[in-house]
Amino acid sequence: MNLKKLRDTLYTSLAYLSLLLLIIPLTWIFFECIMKGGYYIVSRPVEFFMDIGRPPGVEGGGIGHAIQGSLYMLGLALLVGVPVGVFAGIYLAERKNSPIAKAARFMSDILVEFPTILVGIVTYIFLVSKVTGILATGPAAFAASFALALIMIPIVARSVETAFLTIPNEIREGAYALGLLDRQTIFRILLPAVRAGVVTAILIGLAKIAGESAPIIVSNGVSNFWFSRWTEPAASMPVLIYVYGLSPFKEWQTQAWAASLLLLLLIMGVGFLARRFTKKLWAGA
Amino acid sequence: MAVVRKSIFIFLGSFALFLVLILPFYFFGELYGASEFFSKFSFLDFILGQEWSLPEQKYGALQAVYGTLMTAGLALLITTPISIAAAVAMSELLPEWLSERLGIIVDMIAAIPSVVIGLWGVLSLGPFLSNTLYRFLVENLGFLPIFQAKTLTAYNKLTAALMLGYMIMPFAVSVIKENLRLVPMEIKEAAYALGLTKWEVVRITLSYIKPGIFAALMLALGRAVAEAVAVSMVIGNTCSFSVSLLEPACTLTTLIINNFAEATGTEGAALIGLGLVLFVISISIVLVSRLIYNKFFGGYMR
Repeated sequence: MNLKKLRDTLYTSLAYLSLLLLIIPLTWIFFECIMKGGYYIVSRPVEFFMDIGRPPGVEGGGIGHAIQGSLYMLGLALLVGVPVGVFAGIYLAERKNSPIAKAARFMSDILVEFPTILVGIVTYIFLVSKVTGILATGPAAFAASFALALIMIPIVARSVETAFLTIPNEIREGAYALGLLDRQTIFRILLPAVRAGVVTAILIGLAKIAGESAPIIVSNGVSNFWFSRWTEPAASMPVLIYVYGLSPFKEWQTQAWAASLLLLLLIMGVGFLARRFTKKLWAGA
Repeated sequence: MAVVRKSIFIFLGSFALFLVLILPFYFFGELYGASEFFSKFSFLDFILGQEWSLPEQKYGALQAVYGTLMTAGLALLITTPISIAAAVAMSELLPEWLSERLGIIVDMIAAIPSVVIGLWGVLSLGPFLSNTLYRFLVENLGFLPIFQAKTLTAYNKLTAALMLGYMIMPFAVSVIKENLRLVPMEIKEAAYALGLTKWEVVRITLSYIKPGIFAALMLALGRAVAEAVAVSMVIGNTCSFSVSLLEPACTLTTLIINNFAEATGTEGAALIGLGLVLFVISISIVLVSRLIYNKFFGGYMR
């Protein structure tokens, strides 16, 4: 009996220990970001947000170009990805037993786990390679945007579907009983009812692509300058962290931590917003 | 008239159809991109070729496949016990309010961009481990082939695996937690009624969701295989068949990410060929895990 109790205590404490293992690295990462990166941002706030990088060995410099490039890229990705994802998601929920919906559900479950680097390769092949490239024949920012859009579409579609499935059927029946057409029912009754859920879906997709670096490196490459044209490589925050983090220069490494802090705060902020909207959705339904 | 009424579903359906076609489109794109390479080199030579070297025009994928399977497998080995234990602690042992907060922390870990974890690996974790754990391993367990190293380096398979293991942990934890909630309360009540201790009840609960845990860990393995940037930052990027965990290696994704931007002609096409191998590996992992999940739970997985 005593042995039994001892074993129970041992295994329970091992379980608690595993929680510690989960939390320590997270704390460590935040600590480094704040101590190294936060210090840099506080010491040169204007330069950090408004300036481009300096050559190695020169003090100072900022990541303004990367912030700008990221905003452009994410903007175009949202512009392409959100309508496609939302419309597909509505179809998945409103025609849930049709063969297309079943196939799309199956495919998007696979796509969510798909290696993002391959998405970058495929967009590179079709949009900007020497043979098939029409707008550009080399790495270009718009190719990266399309890769990001393709990555977010299945995520947005599945989340929008989930949101629409929370609507009680009585609402649909009520709308049809009033003689509304399908299109009126969907866009005037159902979509407003799950506004918060659709916003959440978009935010989840945004949080997923904001930190993506592999598809950007493959299809857009690296740039150290301000955004010039969609058909040229552009800078972006994840790629800047990658390049600066691997460089042997102390100044660049410090700026990589600072950019990481900014990126982390952005993504967690988006996640926090998504959580708020989800709560609203449940409260409203 | 009916067509006009239903036209909205034709419109929406075309987007859903697009969603269906994305994956075949990826596959076709990979095949098309790699075709230039496979017209010059035989597929068997590529997949069984031992060496990847540009000057000698040797394109063999085997070392990269070995590196990928080694690091991802090791990462899974690290993740499995920790994530199961953490999920059990959160859903069975701790009070509701605390495990809810911990759930938020797990979501936070999942939200960290891979490049930030890579930065931590290259600047903090790697140097720290090479001064402590790796020195200890080489000095005291250096007679084992897996801990032999010619020179002590911070960037090797073990660093990559530890980092990958941490990256896939939040995903595994939350899926296992979801599975644990599926266990009927009656089973636990019956076990407690028999006078079993907490740990024994947990063991019964776990055996009840074994297939779910297996499927979750398979998906986590798929994520480890697919990870590119973070691994390329800490793995050392030297292809070899070394069994030692403390020697650098390369993987499918790191070869692509390090060379794709500057690659031209045959090399670029060969890298796309590596992408094709990655495609097949990761799709089969995902399919197997879905198959298991659907077979045992007959349902839909988050």
